[in-house]
Parts: sequence; structure tokens; C-alpha cells
Amino acid sequence: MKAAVVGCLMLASVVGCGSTSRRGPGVGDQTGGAGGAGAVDETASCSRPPAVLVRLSFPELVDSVGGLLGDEVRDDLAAELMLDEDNRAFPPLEAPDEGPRVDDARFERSDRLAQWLGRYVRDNFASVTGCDADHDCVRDFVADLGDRAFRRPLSSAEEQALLLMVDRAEALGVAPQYALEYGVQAVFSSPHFLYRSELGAPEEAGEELRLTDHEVASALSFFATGRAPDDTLRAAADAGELGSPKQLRAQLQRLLGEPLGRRHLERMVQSYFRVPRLQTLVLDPAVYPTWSRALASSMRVELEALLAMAVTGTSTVGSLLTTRKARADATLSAHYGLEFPPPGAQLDAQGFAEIELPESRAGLLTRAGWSALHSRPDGPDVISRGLAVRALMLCDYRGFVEHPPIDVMPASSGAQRARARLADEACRDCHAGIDAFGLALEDLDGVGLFRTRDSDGSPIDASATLPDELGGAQVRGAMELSHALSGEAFAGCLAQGLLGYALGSSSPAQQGESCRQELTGGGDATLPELVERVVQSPMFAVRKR
Amino acid sequence: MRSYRFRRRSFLASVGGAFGLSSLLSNLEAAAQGTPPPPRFLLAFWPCGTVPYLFRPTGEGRSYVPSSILEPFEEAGLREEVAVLYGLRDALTVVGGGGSEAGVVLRTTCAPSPGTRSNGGEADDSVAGGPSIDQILSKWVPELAPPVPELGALNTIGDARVDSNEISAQCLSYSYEQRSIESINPGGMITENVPLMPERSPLKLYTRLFSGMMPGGSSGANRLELAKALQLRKSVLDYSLGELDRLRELAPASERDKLEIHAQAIRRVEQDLAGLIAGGPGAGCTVPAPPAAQLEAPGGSGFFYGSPLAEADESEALLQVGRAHFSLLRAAFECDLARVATFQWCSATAQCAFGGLYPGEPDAAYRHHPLSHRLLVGNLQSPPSSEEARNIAEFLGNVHTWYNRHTAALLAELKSATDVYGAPLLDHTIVPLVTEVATPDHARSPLPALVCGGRALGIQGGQYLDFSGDVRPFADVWLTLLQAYMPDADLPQLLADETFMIHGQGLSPIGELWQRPA
Repeated sequence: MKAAVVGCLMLASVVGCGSTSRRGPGVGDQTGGAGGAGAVDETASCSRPPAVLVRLSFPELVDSVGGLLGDEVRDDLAAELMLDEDNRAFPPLEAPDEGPRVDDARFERSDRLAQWLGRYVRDNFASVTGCDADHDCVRDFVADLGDRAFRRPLSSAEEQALLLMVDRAEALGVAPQYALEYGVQAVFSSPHFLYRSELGAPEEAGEELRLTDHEVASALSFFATGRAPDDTLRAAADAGELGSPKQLRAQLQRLLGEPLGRRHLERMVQSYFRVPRLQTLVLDPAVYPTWSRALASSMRVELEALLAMAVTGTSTVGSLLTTRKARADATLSAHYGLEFPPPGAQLDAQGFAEIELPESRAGLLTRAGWSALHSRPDGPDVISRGLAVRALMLCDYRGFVEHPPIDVMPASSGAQRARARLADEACRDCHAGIDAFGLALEDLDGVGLFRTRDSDGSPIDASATLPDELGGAQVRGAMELSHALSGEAFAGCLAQGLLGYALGSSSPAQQGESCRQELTGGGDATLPELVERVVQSPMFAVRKR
Repeated sequence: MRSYRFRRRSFLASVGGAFGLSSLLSNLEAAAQGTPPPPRFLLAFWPCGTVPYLFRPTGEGRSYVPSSILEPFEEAGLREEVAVLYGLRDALTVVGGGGSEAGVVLRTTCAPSPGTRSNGGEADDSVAGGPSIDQILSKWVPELAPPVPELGALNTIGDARVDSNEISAQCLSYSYEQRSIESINPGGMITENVPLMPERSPLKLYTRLFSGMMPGGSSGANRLELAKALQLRKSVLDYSLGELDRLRELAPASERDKLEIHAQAIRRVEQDLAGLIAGGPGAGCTVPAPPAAQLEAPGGSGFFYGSPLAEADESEALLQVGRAHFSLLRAAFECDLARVATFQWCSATAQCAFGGLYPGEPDAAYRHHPLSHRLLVGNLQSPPSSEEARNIAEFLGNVHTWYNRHTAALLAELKSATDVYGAPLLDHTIVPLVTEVATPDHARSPLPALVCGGRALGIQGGQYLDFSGDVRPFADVWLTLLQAYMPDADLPQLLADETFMIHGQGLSPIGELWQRPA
């Protein structure tokens, strides 16, 4: 616990105050460097990412194993590797224990994965392989497993290298199931399994290269389902049927239409908006006596339902910030002060029902879970909320340095400190673009209830002047802010985030406004439309050398 | 009695972790050849600073009289193994971090903290701005390099509960590896030294350390099976290296570093395996019995500042997890599987409830750090004026005594243990015992600390060094230990680029604390 920060933050000179440089999860330098936020040419088209090898995250590897050996094996393997199933990162390699490279720690983990799978197949020899202590059968199984695990046909040399494992074991007089153990270990410790290739065909010439059909299939599948291509997609790649936009679209629609794809897209946007954090969120019970794990859980369900609506594609992404449709249970309704269940409501098994929120509460920013996620444990925080809006809705991840404290009474409220910063020339230049969002959200407390007075008893003033890039409009309160944010900039930011996810570690450092417009098509779009635009974008399947 | 089949299968399953055998074998060979025993380092931590008027000894130098808080070390017969330090200073800058949270990273890294992590909780989770002392020592002192690198950093904690998702409060160890993370303060992306999180489960630590040991002993049949398994395991690693080479030819130059790092990680394991294949399995040192599966440090978040009174005493559970962790670390030192480790009783925002330690309330259990927040007054060189404040101070002093009593018991075990080379462990192990803040009000100075053990390395125990009147940065303690491990090194030159040296500016070893061994 710490004392309140009294001071202002100033943009680092390397960035330049007021610049529109943007960098977000998945759109930074993932090649292992610290990344950076340099100036962006806002008028430039989307730039082609470089040809790379994308390390697959552990959840992606484990889910891919599920596709190869069944979801029961997947679950046991996830437990063995202690995957945090509830809290996946956006994009996957941004998780604290992930990263673009296989260093000692990640090798230890991937080695554990390979050894565990080797032992699993050995111990379940007959049921997994259908073999009967027959070396030839074991060899066939290993070759086929390699083919599917590497997500492309093996070359003859690759197949021979894999089968050498089995042959060596046989030469040592080891029983077939033990020979298989090492063959399986080899498959799952191979770089062809651990990385996704974006190198194109070796024979291709020129400054730009197109990914092979199998590379496209992998990119599409990991983006749309979080795991390796299924048999249908693999067959399309084998037949060279992923080259046209129409073919790509058909496969994407198919994947997103299946439960696996829908669930993956839901988890993706949940991770983007940090929703899983509600599971471990801590608030001060002395300040929020009604806060409980049950309430946090209800808030999470509400946010997940809101985002799930976007995934269905029945409304535009902008409506995420304006819709009054919600899913709530008795706990959350009581928190909002609403009657529950409303007349005619159908309750599901968990006691949730579709409800219509009052006019004062519409969209993501007004939902209790959002306020809780972006507050301090003991109250709202103007800067945290402002930074969250900037980052997640405008894709502006600025670099800041601490500025010497200004002369503000330590006891003053967060809003008073924010207004003092805006009155101070040294602070205003940068904080105008941050605090405005936090100030407009001041009418919501740390658990998303509307308030008219601050903790010190002073009246709440939720008025704010939005930054120039949003037209410099005056807004008052969360509702007006939501409407102001619900336009193309928000859709463009989401599209940029999705692009970063799709590209994994191969993403360009930053994209400008023109690129985001290319991705959104210049108009409002649904989430599945944004996903499709990302897949149809030249950046998805073309790389620069 | 287990069947041969069971032993064989267990044995084969354990080959992936056969480093234990390899390490033991090389140790035994080294011992047989008269190689001197290696030094070791164990960073130990207690939370929430101290109450100075209850902690500070009277007298000075070798004739000091211990306070009640320090008495447990006398009672355990450790006076000559313990140097008591007081008055160390900490003037490092932090961006944002909480008193306790920042205190941990400052203490172990002695480097400024660049900001706080965005973690969905409070905005106070300080990130490390440099590597921690355990990692610094592992890097620079050749004898402290990990004998079994695959084990990774050995860090343990007995109670990992924090206020709101903080990593800093529960992590003493920070790698040289850096990464870019999203911050809440100052905002945007910042660079941190990657935290090396402590193990909470003694059983998991046990599995990590000892799963490579050969069940069933080194019978002829086992040896043969081991030899085959090692050969096949090496074949898998060879295969991966070969495929990486193939991929390197196809990948653009910008990706080759990535592949080389992967290959290096494989080669390190392969090298160990190759040695094992060449040497064959050796006999064992004593592998401890596995700890109970249910023993595990509690984790998660909770905010108890409004209500520090707990429902029950939790100190016994803390003690059991702490003892289990310590005995495994001791066994790892004995078998020379590790030479550097950290041992943390409790996170810095200590939520453990101690029963019967509050004056006049024998049945009440209070949470350590939450109750310390009721005593946010500075200095505490003498008893506070109000009775309630005095009672809280006495409670905090009692908790500190509890930590010392049990730490002293563990150090006494280390004193009577010998390593695989036959050398007394504590004499060859330096155990700094540190805390993150000076006093309950989160003041960063004047800090208390103890330096235990290391007599064979020249550490001068049996004395009280009071730096209250000096300007003696805490980082001088780390520099002194580095000198003890590397008596002939030109430290200012050797460590010139280390973050703690850059920010320490003019650090100097504490002359009284170390003398070159005869």
C-alpha cells in the first residue's frame, strides 16, 4: 500500500508530448528488444511485416496437442505445465512467462511438454497408436504425427530424421513403446512444432514474399482458433486452395462459425479488455463493504456477455460503448439497484438473464466491472482510467517520465489533483490527453456505481474537454464519453489490436491512422468484419524480406 | 517392496531430470580429488522492518549485549556466526512504488525502480531496475555459478499473500534478463528485470531438485537402462539441434539470434547428459523424504488494513512451510545441486496472523503488516507515548523475535550439516538476513540487517556494527559479500557496469565485516 501520488507525469522527450505515436499489445517490437514508441507516419499505408519464425505460446502448443491427441490429453498437459487457463494474454506472447524466444526457462518447459507427451503415448501405447508392439506401425505413427504436428507435409529428409529416433531405440533393444516415447519426444521438441514459420517458399524471389498455403493455414488457424489447423483447413492447404480472398474468407467463416472459433474470439476480446483480471481483483472492503468474490464473478459474466454480443456480429463494435443490453444475476442487479428478475426474463442455470439497463448506463465504460478493473483498491483513479481508455480504445501507449510534484494539497481528491495538473502548464500538455477520460468517468465510483460526491465530500464534476484527435468536444460523464469514443477511432484501434494478435511476433512496430482506416474500411464495422479485414489485409499473408 | 518393473519405469521417467546424478557424480569425483568445497549464498528475508528500540543491542563491537529480538541467535549458539548491522541507508529513487513493495526490489537489487506494474491491483507493484544480489553473485563468482543450470533459480517463500496481485512483495530474485511491460506508473511501457518467482510448494521444489535421483539405487540393471535412456534422450536433443540448424539456413539473418538462443538452451542440457553418459551413474548422497503434498505457502490477494484482527493463528502453518523449504535448500546445498538460493519467510506485505503476541490479548491473532499500519510513526528509537502504540510496537517486536527464533533454529541446522565435500555448511555459506523497510512507517533508513555464517570466507560474526552516525549505503553490504567471494578481484573495475554500482556511486566494502581468511 502506498501514499497517493501527487504530481504529474510528462511524456518522455523521445516520444514528444502530443505525438500520436501508438504502440499496443501485439504491435510492438517482439523480436526481443525493449520496444519503443517512435513517431508514426499517420498517413502511410499499412507496412508489411518482416519474414519471421513465430514462437507459439504454451497455450497454443497445448491446444494444438488437443487437436492431435484429444482434449483429455490437452487438459492433463495443461495441468502439468500449470497453464493459467483463465487468464490468457493478448496477444499470447505478451504473458509474463512467454516471449518470442526459447530461452533456458522456456526450453525447460517445452522439454517438459515433449517428455510428458512421450511418456503419455508410451503408457497408452495401444489406445493411442492402435499398434501391437510392431516397429513398422510405430514408425508410421511417428511419421504421421510429425506431419500433423508440423502442420505441413514432411520432406523426405525430415521424415528420415524423425524415424531415426525409433530406429536407434530399436537398435538398442528397446521395446516398441519405449522407442515410440523418444519418437514422440522428438516430434514435440522439434522447432517445426514450437515455431510457426512465416518465411514463404524458399524459391520465391523479390522484395516481398507470399506465405505458403500451409503457412497461411497456420496463421489463420492460430488467429481464429488458437490452435493448429484442423483437417479441413489442412486439406485446403494441401490442395493449394487458400490463395484467393474468397477461399480465405470461406475458411475463416467456417472456423468462426464453429464453437471453437467463437470461444476463441470471445477469449481474445476478453483478454484485450483485461476482463479475466476481475477474477483476482482486490478492493478494500473498508471502502467497498459490498465487494465480494461473488460480485466480481457477476461483473465478469456481465462483461463477457457484452463482448460475446460483439463476437456474434449482430452489432457494430461501436455499440460495445453504447448498448444497454446486458446479462445480470440477482447479485449484480442488486448492486445496480435494479429489480431482478425483470418481468418475463428467462433465467439460465447460473441465475443470469438478459436485462435492459436504464438509460443512465450504456456500454462498456458504464459497466461495474470496467470501473472496478480500472480503479485503485480504495477508490477511482483519474490517471489509471485515462490511460486505460487511451490504450484500449485509442491504441495510444505513450511513454512517460515522472515530473516533479506540483503544489497540490496532498489531501485533495484525485479529480482535484487532475484539475490542478490541467491548470499547470508543465503538466497540461500531456495530461490533457489522459486525464480528460478519467475526469469524464468521475461520476462512477470504484465499483461502477454513480456518485455525486467524492470521498472527501466535494461535489463530483465529470466534465472534460476531449483531446483534439477526438474533436476537442466537451463531455460530461461516462455516457457522453462513451458516445464520443464509439466512432471509427475505436474500431480502428480494435482492428490494430487484432492485427497484432494475428501477426504474433512478426507485427510491425506501429501503424498509423491511414492503416487503421484501411483495416476498418473507413466505416463502422462488426467484430467478425474486423477479423476478416485483418485476414484479407496484405499484411496477413505477405512479408517483406 | 517395489517391483523391478515399477522401479524401471519410474527410473526411465526420471531420466529427464538426471542432472542430479550427473552433478553428484562430478561432486564425488571432485571430493575424491581433494577439490576445496565451494562457497554458497542464501539470501533470507523477514518482512516489515523492525522496532528499533526493541531491536538495537546495547554496547558495540564484539562486546555488545543482544536485545530480546536478537536473543534467539545467542540461545542457538550462533553468536560468533552472526554480525548485527544497523543504521544502513537507502537513498534510491522509485517511480510510484509502495513502501513495502518498492522496498523489496530496492533491497535485493540496490538499483532504482523505474515504475510500477499494471497488474489490475494497486498502482504500487514496483519493478526491478537491475538484477538482484543472488543473480549478481551467480554471474560474477565462478564458484557460485549454478552446478545444475537446469534447476533454475532456487527461490522459496512461506507465505505469498499480498495486497493486490503484487509480484514485488513476494519476489526477492530478479534476473539479468530484461523485458518491456505495461506500467501503471509512470504509464506506458517500461523495462524491468524479470522477476524469478519463488516456489510456494515444498513438494514442487523437491520434485525439481530430486526427481533426477535414481530410485532403486545403482544396480547393474538400472545402470544399463539408464545408459540406454540417456543415449535416446541425447538423440532427441541432437535431433532438435539438427532441425534448428536446418531452419537457420532458411531463416533471415534477423531470426538467427532467436534460433541460436534456443540451440544454446539445448546444448546446455546436452552437455550435462554427455557427461553423465561418459561417467555413468554414481552413488547418491542422502535424498530427503518428499514433503507432504498439502504443505504450500498460501497465495492470492487480500486487503486487511481495515481489519487486522484475524480469526486464527497462522504462524504454525508458516513455520511448517518455511522449515520444509529450508530443509530442501539445505539438502540441495549438501548435495551440491545448488550454491545460491533465496529464502523468504513471508511476502513484504505480510498477512500472516500471529496469535498470542499482542500484549494482554493471549487469544487474539493479528495480521503482521496490516497491524503495523496502525503504527505509522517514524523513528521509534524509544517507546511511543500512547499505550496502544506501545502495544502495537511490542507486538511487532514479538513477531520479529518469532522470525529470529525460527531462523536461528534453521541456521543451527546448517551449522551442524556438512556438504558432499565434508565441509561444514554454514562456514561456507553466507546468509544475509534482510528486510525491506526500516520501520513500520515504511521509512527506508536506518535499516537493520544480519549477516550470518561465511566464517570460512572471512565474514566476521560476533559483533554489532552501528552505522547510525555514518552515511553507509545498504549496497555496501552486497559489495562486502562480493569481496568475500572474490577476495582478489578489482571490484570497482569488474563491476563497473553493474546497476547497483552505477547508482551506488562510491560504494566501499565494510572493512569490519570481512577479513581475508588466513
